[in-house]
Amino acid sequence: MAIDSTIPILVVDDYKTMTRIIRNLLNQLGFQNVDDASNGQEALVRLRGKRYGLVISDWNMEPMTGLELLQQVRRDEALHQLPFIMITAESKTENVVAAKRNGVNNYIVKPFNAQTLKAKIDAVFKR
Amino acid sequence: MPYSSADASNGEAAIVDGPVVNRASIALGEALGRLEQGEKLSVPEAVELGAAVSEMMVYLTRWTQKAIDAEFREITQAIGAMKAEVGSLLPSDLSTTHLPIAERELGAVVTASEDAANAIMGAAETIIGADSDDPSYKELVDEQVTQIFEACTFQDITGQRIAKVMDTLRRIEARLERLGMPASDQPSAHQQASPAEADRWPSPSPAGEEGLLNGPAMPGEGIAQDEVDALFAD
Repeated sequence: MAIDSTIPILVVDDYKTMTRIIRNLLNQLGFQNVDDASNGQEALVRLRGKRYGLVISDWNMEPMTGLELLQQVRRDEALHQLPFIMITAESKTENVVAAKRNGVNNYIVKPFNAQTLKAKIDAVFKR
Repeated sequence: MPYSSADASNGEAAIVDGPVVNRASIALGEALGRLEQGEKLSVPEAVELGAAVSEMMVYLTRWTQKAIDAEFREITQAIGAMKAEVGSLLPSDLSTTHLPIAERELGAVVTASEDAANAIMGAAETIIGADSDDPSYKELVDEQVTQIFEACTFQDITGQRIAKVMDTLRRIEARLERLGMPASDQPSAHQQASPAEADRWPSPSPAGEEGLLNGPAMPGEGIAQDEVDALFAD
């Protein structure tokens, strides 16, 4: 079953260049409804103000990290089922395990390509 | 008056106020006054004056020696502390871990920048060389543009690598400052950085995440995407 390319996606990264790259890659993959936030706190505000279908977040951000954002999302009654993909340069097994234990749906290691991004989005919605 | 360490710290005031010095000063002052008025000192008086002056000289010599000893002890302690600090610079984590890591990070930055530049130029050259009348031209351009976007991700990774190098430089700066050798009279780069730049540099991890945030791994190290996928397949 094809994924609905109109789903609103929230990209969270404190690095504007990276946000722009992910947004462009998502556009190339056919996703046009993309918003962004520069940290976990800003992301939470956006998530509580609009219904999103997917969050793609960096980990290493301040003042709220991607892991903390994930924990907040999973604790929030209205958001706890929201698909959440972590895209990060943090590439130790313990990072992946910690993210998975906190309920992340998929995990992409930077640097990545469009094909990997698409494959992980597909995998999240296939489950 | 017996010498005490307080004498050295009190400096000149302690000498002037000392009873031995006062006694000798008074005796000398009186003798000089009498000599100026044409009086002569008797032998016992001269002997007494000599004894007072002699006592004062002994006192002053002892005091000076103790003060010099205290100064030398302080200097020796300062040299010892500096030696320990210099020593710690050599076999410390700075030279065995941080500097080699910084060197590798900078090497990886150079390689990643070069790879990205080549990927971007390669994509641009493919677009320039393509026949725009070809029906698949749009598809080819889309594909090449995607490759350009992908190549641009190097900037995020190199930013994080440079942040690690900045962290090492800050450690060196802190060590130099502890040695009394400020790296510069100017504020450090971190102090001068804009809030946006400073935010990119490492800072203490939030509670509960210590040890998890390490930044990008070196090529060939860290966990690969297929290993991550395997963990999610469980």
